Amino acid sequence: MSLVSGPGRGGGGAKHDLPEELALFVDKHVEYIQTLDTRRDELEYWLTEHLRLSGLYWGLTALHLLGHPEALPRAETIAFVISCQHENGGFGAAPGHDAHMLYTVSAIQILATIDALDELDLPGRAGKDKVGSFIANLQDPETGTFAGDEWGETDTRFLYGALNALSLLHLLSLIDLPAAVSHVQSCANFDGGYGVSPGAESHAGQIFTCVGALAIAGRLDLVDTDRLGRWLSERQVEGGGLNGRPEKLEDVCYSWWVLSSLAMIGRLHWIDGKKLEAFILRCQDPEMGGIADRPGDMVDVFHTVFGIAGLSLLKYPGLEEVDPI
Amino acid sequence: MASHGVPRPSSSRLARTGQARAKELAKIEEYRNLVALVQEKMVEKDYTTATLSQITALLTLNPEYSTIWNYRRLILTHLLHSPNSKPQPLLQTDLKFLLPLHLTHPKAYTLYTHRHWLLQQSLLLLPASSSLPIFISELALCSTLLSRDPRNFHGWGYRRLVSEELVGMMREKGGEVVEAEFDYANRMVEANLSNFSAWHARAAWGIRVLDVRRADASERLRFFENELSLITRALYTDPYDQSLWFYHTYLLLTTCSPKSPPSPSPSRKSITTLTPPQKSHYLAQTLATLRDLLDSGDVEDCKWVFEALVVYGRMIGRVDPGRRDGGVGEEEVMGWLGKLEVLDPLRAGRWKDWKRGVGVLE
Repeated sequence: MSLVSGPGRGGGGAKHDLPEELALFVDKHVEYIQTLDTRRDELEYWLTEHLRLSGLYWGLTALHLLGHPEALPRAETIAFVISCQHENGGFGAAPGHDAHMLYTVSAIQILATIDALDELDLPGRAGKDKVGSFIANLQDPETGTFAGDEWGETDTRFLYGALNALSLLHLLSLIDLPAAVSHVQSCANFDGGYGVSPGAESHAGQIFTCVGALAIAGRLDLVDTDRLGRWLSERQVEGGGLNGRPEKLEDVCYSWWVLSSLAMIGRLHWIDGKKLEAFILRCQDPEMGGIADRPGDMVDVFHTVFGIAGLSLLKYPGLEEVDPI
Repeated sequence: MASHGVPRPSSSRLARTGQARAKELAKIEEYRNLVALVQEKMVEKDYTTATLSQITALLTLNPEYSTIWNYRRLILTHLLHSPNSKPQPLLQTDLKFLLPLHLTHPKAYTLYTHRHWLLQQSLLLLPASSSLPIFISELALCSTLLSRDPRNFHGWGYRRLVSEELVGMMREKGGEVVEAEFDYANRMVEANLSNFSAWHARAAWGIRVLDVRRADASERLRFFENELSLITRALYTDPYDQSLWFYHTYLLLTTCSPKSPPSPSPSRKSITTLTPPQKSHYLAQTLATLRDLLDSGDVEDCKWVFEALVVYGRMIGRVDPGRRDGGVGEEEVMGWLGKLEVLDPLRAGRWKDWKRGVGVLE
């Protein structure tokens, strides 16, 4: 089951109360996501297999926010997730792919979204505890950070993923949480932001992971809210969109990374929500569904979910409410 | 998947012709056959150079296929530890194989992960005299990648990783690496003032340079003054560039804030420790510069000048409440905030908070 692929090919009409150019094309997006797994005759489908499980998570989350949680069949979803699991408890991106933190987190998020975490404990399956220990074993006891897999790449993305999944599994006690928190602190920069690792430049995506990790750990008091709020609010450019670093182009995915970070530190009102909303809506493919990085570009499910999640944080009418963490 | 900056084709172009479709299907078959072949070899534990070249072919088609990179490392580990193994050429051949992939996929995490793994192997398997030149040539590669895209996040991150390791490898001469990286950051700043990545690196290595030099209080103060005058000149060149203002804020907030120092947080590490009268002196000097910039006439629409006036205007009164000139009056600060609301309506919520004294930088 794949939800990661190229351009949209939806169809059919949609009716909206809002003026056409400002409306969210809910039906088209639902159809776009539903048809992503039918594109096996495209090379791109196969070249992106290493993202399958995350693609499913992005598509599923978008559908839930759009108010169409039933649009993907539940049993098939669960079966696909379980088919990606390894004996060590971790999950790969698709069957035959090695276990990795990123896909283990996606698996747990998918199962939590459709209220199916208990599936992990059915007879013959690895069980929640084993998933928990797969994640916990990737923590570096010395620095508190997390690796993605046995090959040792570390990144604050993996640390956030670990905390997210373990908190959904109620297994945070398996790790050294204070050590993880102090690692996040060591990634803080003079602008109030955070990077991939200590000393790395601030980046909106990594800020989301670090602030999110601190939120899960109950340590948002450690964030330099005023400096970070300033840096994040300066991500909004004239056209209304948000960029991820100073002097870069705006991109819909930052509607999530920047906006959710602002929400977590109580500074959502430091940017112009209306202008951002209009920018996200302009990035839709009105014909075939899906949302792109910028107006007129190729859509994909990654930008689709983060655009919709951004709209949800902005309280766009008709969308389910999203949790910024 | 996450397509960035790829224009959307029109729907008619999407309807592929029969010929194009057949061609794509053939490509898919070729690709899937190669994947199946590699998987079969791995199940058979056929850890040979023949399998390695099939993996090379597959990774050239799809450099982001992380599991296949894991396979590559499994085979390399096997080859590196087999009798009569020649680790150095093996490792260097693999580093070379990565080069063209970096140029076509400058943002692929997998490539940097693999490079770093190869470097770790060189530390484990080669004498220091052989691994050191490998690390040094990695910095040259980073320079090449960063000259193609001076903001490449991965390039800067990898450069930092390698140079940090080099600092340790060079032992008592590690300071030379710190100095060289500080110089590199400076050259990148000079090449393009708008490069925030380079300003970030300059700040990070600047603090380290002072430690390496075992700088005393007066050297630190000189360094601070030097940085302040450099950034001030840069602001006169381009007062609309936010990268410059972030560096300016860094310099002043970490040294002149009533809160600084001490602070254990790395986000507040400072170049030097100033006394309250010194803080007051540099804040006053900065305010004078900002007023001068405004008086120069052509930056009346530059919100950054007003933001800085508000921040340091408020700060000077807190640092030194007994200033003879009385610092900056609240009325004037409110005037600047009013300008900010007009010039920068996107962030109206922030200016409103600042008017109430909430969330102002300190």
